[in-house]
Amino acid sequence: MRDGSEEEYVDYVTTRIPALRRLAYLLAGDAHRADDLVQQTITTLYVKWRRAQAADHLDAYVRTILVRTYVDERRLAWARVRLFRETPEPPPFADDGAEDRQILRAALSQVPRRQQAVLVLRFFYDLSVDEVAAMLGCSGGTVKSQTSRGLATLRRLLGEQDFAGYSAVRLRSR
Amino acid sequence: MPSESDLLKSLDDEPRTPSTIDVRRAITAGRRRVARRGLRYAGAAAATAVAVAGASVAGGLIGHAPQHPAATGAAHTGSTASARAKAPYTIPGTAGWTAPPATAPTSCTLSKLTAPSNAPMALIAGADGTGRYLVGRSYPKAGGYQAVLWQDGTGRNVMVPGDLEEQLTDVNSAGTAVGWSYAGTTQADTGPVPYVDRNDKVLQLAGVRRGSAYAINDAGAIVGTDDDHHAAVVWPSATAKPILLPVPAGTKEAVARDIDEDGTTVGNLDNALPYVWFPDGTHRRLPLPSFDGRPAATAQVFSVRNGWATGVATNGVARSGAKDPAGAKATGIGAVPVRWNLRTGDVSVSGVLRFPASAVNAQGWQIGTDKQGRAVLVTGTGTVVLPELANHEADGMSTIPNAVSDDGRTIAGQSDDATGTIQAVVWHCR
Repeated sequence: MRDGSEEEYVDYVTTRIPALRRLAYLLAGDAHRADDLVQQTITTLYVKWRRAQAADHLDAYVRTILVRTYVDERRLAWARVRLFRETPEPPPFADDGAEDRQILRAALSQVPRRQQAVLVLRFFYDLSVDEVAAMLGCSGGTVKSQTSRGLATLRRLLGEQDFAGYSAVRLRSR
Repeated sequence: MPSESDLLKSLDDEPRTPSTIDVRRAITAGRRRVARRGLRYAGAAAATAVAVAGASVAGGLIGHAPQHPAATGAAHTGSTASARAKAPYTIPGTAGWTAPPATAPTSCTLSKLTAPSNAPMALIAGADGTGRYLVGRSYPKAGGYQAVLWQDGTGRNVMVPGDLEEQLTDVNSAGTAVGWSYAGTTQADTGPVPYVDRNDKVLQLAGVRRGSAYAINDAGAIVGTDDDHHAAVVWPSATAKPILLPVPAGTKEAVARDIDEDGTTVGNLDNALPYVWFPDGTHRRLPLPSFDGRPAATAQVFSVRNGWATGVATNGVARSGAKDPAGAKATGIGAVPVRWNLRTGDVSVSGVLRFPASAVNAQGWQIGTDKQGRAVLVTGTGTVVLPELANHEADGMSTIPNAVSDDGRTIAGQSDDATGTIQAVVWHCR
């Protein structure tokens, strides 16, 4: 490691893995893929650790690595990774709203990756247009247009009626 | 009709399966990535040395590099091999340069610097010895990064090619600034490119495809890295071809981090051995300090000024995975801030700083983060706590001094404002 601060890397990464898994799971929609995404992210972070430590907001820097890794499909050989997967995805919890959430997740997974990332970052994480733009390396205008296109796609997939039905979904307190 | 926010927030973000993420595997894979590049190093570097400096030099630099002289900490006498042979190069410096006299400040006040184009966020990474010129970057509203040079408190954007990420790292008293900007379209090809900004004109430094410029002295010599060859380099001027700095046989990777006014350059071999290249072409290892009753296993040097060099030493536990010589577990990881006196060979461990110093000035005064997490200036006579823009937990992250003038009167860096936004700041001390 270029700056010899591997212990700081280990400490940092260990504490952030749960949060990174949640973000990865939201984006990838599959726990195994999410773990691959996080594994890939922290490997990249290791290589870039010296520069990363100098980053003004390390958490944002790491989230950016993860989101960009996800958005840029060329960076992940999912097909190859899947060959080594044996465990099937377990069934979802059968709690209230789970089914709706599965429908929503299925719909979200059909939205193009970039738009998906924009929707999750803006509305799940409440990041500003500028913050999302910085993470994705694009302009604020692009984030706005992808937001509206992503939402339009979601509405189409869910149908206006189902979309309206989500008012009944008990929202998780965060 | 729910809001988009309500809708998206109804997503479940907790994976059902236990985590399969393995930090050690990431480290192993990360090391392999670095090592793969390292394997190509010896051959490629030798070829480059031929191209840059001629065949006989390449033999001297790479093929028959001197044995490591014992790290005795003795004053510079040159290694055996380089003492015999005439040095193949010299590193430009200013003859007879002396540090301005200074008395240690006892208090500092803080002011926020405005970034050009009303960028909402900015930080300062480096300064010249007088503190008149400051360099860093801003974070424009539209996203991305923008290299900035401040002169007497007024900033201007420096238009460095590339839109991925850029940073100015250092500037000299003529206002010539150096830095890097990422280039490349594929992941394998993406990497930093070294630049210099002279008289408001940006030039890519010669002879290096991927690499970084880290520092410049008043004579205009620039030091940094050639990442393709994992070599430490000196560009004798803004337009000169680089000199590949010699390293002992077996070195996989070398970086040059800082250059003194007399041309003395410091850097690291394989991220574990601190090294110094003197202007006359001789070079040697820097001694490792002892701490916790044992000699350090590794050390790295990051800054040099007027013969004072600063960096970090470790007990090697983090690198070896879990074992340390005394059998302690990974919790026995130790790293301490270090200062060398290159003229006497002394090396000492800081009792005040928590992390390695951000910078050192001509008096040997250091800036950084103290053990309580506060931003501080450590002089020969005491410690001055640097005020912050807004009250934050002292964690060594919210307020960071990054550059200090030779008289200790001007310190520059970053401080989070009340909204947690990073702002470029200057401390005036007296």
